[in-house]
Amino acid sequence: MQLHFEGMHMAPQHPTVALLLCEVVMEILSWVPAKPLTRLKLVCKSWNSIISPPHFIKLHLHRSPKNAILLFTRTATLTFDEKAKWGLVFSSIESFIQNPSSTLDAQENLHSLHGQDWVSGSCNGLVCVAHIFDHPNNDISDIWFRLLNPLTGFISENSPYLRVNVNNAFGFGYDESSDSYKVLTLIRDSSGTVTAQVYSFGGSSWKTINSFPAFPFCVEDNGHFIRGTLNWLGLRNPHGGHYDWAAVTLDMLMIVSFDLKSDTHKQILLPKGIDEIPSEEPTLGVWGNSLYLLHDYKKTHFIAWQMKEFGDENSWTQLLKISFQNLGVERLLSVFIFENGNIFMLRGRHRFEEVFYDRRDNSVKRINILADNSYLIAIDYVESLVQPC
Amino acid sequence: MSGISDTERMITLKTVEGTLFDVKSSIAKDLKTVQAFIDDSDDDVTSPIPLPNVFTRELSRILDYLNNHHRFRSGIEKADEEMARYDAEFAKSMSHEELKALILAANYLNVKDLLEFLNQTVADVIQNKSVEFVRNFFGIENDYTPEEEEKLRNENEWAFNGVEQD
Repeated sequence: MQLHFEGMHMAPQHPTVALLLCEVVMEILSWVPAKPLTRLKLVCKSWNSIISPPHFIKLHLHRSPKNAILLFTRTATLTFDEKAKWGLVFSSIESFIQNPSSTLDAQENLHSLHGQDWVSGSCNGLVCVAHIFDHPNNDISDIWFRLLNPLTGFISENSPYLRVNVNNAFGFGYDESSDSYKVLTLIRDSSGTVTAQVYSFGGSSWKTINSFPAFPFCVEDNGHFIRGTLNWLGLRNPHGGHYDWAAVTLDMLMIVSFDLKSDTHKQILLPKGIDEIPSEEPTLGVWGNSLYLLHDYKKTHFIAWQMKEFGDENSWTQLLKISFQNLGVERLLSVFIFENGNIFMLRGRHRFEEVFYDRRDNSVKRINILADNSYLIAIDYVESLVQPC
Repeated sequence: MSGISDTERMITLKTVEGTLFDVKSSIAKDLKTVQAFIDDSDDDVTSPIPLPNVFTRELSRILDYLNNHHRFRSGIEKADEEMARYDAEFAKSMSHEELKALILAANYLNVKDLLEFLNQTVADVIQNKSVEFVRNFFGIENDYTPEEEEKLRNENEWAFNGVEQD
């Protein structure tokens, strides 16, 4: 066969069907879910060396389905102490919404989390766990953090510990530019000064950020991670910390966005459409890779805003305004948002009752879950084999 | 073929067996290797372009896929559903050997969307199969000793929980 075309021709390759090219194998494997993928390390040594390196794990993470959640349960105790037990379920959002009770029934004991642990966030398949030891008889806590990959069982080394005033809040996120996982702790001292400490996993020490302009209302409020930033809603200094909500005015509210790449912060303006101070503290959150602001209106209605384009303050869009009565809830508690702002899950009026509201057909479902005495914590999750140093 | 606009140039491709395929230039764009060849040529490409690694059966399937996808994309509303149905049938119509041969051809011709679809299809096939099945599928010899295999299995025990051994 003549390969003749003005002296140029397409370069030939040996056509072997049995032995696919390494690059093709890598592409195929990047679509295989984490668990079966790990079993395939046993196919041969060269497959093990394709699957193991960090750059492949990143490619695989990128292709991992984004519709999963982790459901943590924690037995409720009167004090934050050793006796609490944790449970965990992996689920797709779809399965959970269709059948919340039976999804939660499948939970398994999570032995890697203990009574003094608290889940501070999840990123790229890793969960950040804070361990908090409250000193008895004073307002000091010792805190340290570790990373957990709940799928593979990987547990990182502990961060160095922070000894801080009990007024603190945490946030966990990922900085793509340095490929590092970072945790931020906000601390408010007795004089009202707010500072932050940043720790990058793998490093040896915390770095101090000298001034932070606001402090979140609720210290259980983890920083909300989106696009390389950690975000909190709080009261601007010096109003944060101990406050009387009745005395709070709109101008005191502030959303602070901390950039994990530059270690700098800036303000994000609230939606222009909020013209009066809500009756209770609003909630900021990130669900399905969007930032949301939730608040009540005159104690009777629930309003939800979505920032359609993160960073563009003109893109705040009111998604819904619905009465608490129609929803069958007393207040905004434990909200979780699914399906790009279409489905809302909130704590119901009765014990262990969760309410699911679908904005598309205005339907309300009330489900009893967790018959025993537990908290439910739901986090957006993506399966991965990530295992940072 | 009739009804081709004057602005739509035709490219002729020749397979290993010598079969000639006339392809619209808009379709040829999706065969990135061919397009690169055309872009690199000083003059207009008039002679058939020989594809030394691509067999008639594979090129025919690739062009079929591309023609259908172009049709779906340029057309009506419900294209997504029809396209998904077409894709499912397309994948099902091939044996594992044919699937592998098509991946090789699509990789050589650099047909991105088709290649991604085929890779995902194979990933679906292998994810619930035993390690031995996967070795056979790819024609790979096991180069682990029994001890090495045992060690690797233990190190990744979590992945084998609830899964039967081969």
